[in-house]
Amino acid sequence: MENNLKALRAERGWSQAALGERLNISRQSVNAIETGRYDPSLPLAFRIARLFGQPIERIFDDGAGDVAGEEAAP
Amino acid sequence: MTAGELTQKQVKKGYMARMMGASLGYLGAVFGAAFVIDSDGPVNAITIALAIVPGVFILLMMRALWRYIREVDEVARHDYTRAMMGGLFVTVALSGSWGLVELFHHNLPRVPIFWVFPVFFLTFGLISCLRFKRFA
Repeated sequence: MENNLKALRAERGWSQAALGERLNISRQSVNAIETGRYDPSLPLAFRIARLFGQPIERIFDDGAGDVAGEEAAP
Repeated sequence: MTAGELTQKQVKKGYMARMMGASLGYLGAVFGAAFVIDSDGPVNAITIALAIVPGVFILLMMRALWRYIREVDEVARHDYTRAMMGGLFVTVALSGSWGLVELFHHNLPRVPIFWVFPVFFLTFGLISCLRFKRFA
């Protein structure tokens, strides 16, 4: 799963360690999520989304497209 | 982070303290038992009790690891669980394979079961280190 965590973090000028402290996860764990090596659980994804004030789907992309939009399309 | 929840630094610090304490106790108990017990001498309740003492520290190490796995963040928990599975597979494969060799060849030297624990922790540690090397 792809994500734009690195860009969001850079916008705020936070280091991986600083983001890790805000989420209570290690710097290595932030790195693993940013590089797509680990997909976070829903609770952690919600924490990340709340921290950046954005919906989860704007941070994480599973590559399946907008399911709701597809259903609405004729 | 909720009130009362440990930070990752606190979790690691607690784990290191518990694991170091148990490891030093294990080493002391193993060398102490080796010094006191005459392996060719008579077996009695005291020698058996002394030989069991290192096992208590093994249990303490396992408890420290179990607590760490429960408290650490989910990414590290995922990696450590995989490393433990790797260590378990290697240990089971080695001991199971050599056990069969011993079973079918009575004249071969017997490898003491004692080695199961160090082999598990060694492989678990090596696999864990790969994670930190790749993502440090």
